[in-house]
Amino acid sequence: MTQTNESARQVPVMSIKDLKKYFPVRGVKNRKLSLKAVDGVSLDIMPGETVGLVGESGCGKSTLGRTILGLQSATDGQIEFMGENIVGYDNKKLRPLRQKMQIIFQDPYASLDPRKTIFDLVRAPLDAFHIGTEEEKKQKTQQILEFVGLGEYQFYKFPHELSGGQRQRVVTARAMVVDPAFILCDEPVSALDVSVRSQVLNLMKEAQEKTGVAYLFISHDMSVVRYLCDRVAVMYLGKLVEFGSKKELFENPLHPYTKALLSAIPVPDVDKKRERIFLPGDVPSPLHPPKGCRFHNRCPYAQESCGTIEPQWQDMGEGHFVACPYALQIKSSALQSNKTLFEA
Amino acid sequence: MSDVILDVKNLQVQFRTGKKETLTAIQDVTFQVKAGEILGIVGESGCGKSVTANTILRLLPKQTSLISGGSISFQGRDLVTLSEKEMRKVRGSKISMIFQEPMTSLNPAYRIGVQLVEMYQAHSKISKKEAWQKATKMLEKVGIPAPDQRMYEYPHQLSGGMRQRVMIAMALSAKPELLIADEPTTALDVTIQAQVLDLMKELQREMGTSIILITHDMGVVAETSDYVMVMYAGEVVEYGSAAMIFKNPLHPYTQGLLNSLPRVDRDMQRLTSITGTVPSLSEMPAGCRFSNRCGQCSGQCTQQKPQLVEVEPGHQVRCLLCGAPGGRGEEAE
Repeated sequence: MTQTNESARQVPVMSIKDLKKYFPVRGVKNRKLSLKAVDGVSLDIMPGETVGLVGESGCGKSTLGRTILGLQSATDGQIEFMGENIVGYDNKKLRPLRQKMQIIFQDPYASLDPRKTIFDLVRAPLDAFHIGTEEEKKQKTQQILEFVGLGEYQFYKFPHELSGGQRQRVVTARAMVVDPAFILCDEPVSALDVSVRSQVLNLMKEAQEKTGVAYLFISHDMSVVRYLCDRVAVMYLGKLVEFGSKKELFENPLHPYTKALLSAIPVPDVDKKRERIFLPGDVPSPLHPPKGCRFHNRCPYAQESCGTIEPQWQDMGEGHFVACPYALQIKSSALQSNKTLFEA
Repeated sequence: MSDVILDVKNLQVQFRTGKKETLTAIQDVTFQVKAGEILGIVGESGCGKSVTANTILRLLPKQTSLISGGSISFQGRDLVTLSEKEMRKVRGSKISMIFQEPMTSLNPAYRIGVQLVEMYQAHSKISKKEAWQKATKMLEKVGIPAPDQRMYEYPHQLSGGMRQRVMIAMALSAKPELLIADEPTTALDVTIQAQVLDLMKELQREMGTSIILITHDMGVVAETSDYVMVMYAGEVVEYGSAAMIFKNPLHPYTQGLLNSLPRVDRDMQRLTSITGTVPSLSEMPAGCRFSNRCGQCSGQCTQQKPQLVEVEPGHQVRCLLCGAPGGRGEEAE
């Protein structure tokens, strides 16, 4: 890591405590239900670091992202952005803070106004926050566009004239132009082709090294997360199941879900036939999550108590946390996988 | 060597873009599929992999597309010359297809059972009751729990993975010799993807069906395919067994693709990436189509069109620098 964040290690740029986001749903006979999209998530993001948030579709990772930026109001919990608790803030109060928090979406085409030129699009945040004089704005925009690898001949093109990778560069430039402290990246490279994806990933890494911005990188692709992130959180049905440094999480995964997730990823290597942990069934509906541990009905190691007792965070040392009471036993093979469920 | 069931030779497809203008979407595509093997076709979006698949089943609209050359020989018949009526007999019963998005392939207004039964009755003369029983059995085979109930459900009641299983059941119902799967797991989560891929492999082993698996994911190909064909900008650039492609990739594009993949099984400092983007069909470079992005491009590459050349038994490469005529090997002499 760079020196800039070594000194600032103590104060997280974004600190989430026990965050909850419920959506009201009308059930059968107008009975009120709530969909617990995010249910008690705590997370710290330090300046200059990249935290990966992985999980399958519908696990609440995007909802978490939107809620911490104040795009949706939180149901409960605390969101501290640069030392300020922003839960309950209205748009007016959030506005000055928004300059420091930016977002990059998955589909760059949908997030660019088709009637504006690239230059205007990237300049827009500077106008919105009244940063600098006319001349400074121009200079800054030009600088950032060149940094992301767009040449002058492309400045006055429209989004539809660019390729997917170039569009994602424009979106990155637009997020970076106001010097944010934190950028939420919601699946920024999922829509891109392999050869272009690596260009954008390298660009994001360079941008971070240069400016010391922190990323929360939401992705379902574990290999991208391994490449880009410093610490990784794994989410399942609205809750974090494991959190730790990249090294710990990928080389020493403790939660059965993380293990299964890692084993399910196809590796481009014909010799590597890895032991695959087969997960039966689908992710349950977040409207009716299983009691106790939310993963217990798919877990190959599930014990009877898993169906009743909600697992607590366990500190495994070196900043590695896991929400499974049997993690160590599974690791030492004291607990064998439950064969009957395994084959079901 | 097992029998070749599909033999595609020098296939060329053009799209009409104006009154007299055409674009060549794929050209000189040559490959074979042997009985009981899985051929993976990989490439980035727009490289022509789906066009190739759709052409085999002649699914491209006649008004705008034209098979302008080559042959598709399937069980001794050339599919290019078959009439539409004869083609209908091939589709579904001899060659069937699974698409990427199962929700758009299933009719939302009909129950799963009704749609499956229709498939059975279209291909064999059996009673509705018999077809219903067969369909239920097939659902069970593809790993759908409580198939009796699922037969009465609508597509929206199933999850993505379940829907794709239904599609597989439907595609395999007539026991086709060849199954074309066009990005069958792209819309699914990794754990579900693993389930579906395992299922496809298992059924393939059991029923002896050959599979053409189209994907952009090199990992999926490495785990499933026996043979791999890499496409770039409408051409086959490399073809060989999975071991050849992944252990000894020869074409600079294949090498670039493999190097630009972030890996889940190891740490990487910086990804090497292929510069630039795929040129559009109307502005292809004159010589080798990869020449403008290739790190090893020589002056010759921009002039001369490389041919697909066998560099070792079963391993073909389209690159002037890899032992093709006039390539690196001859220069050395």
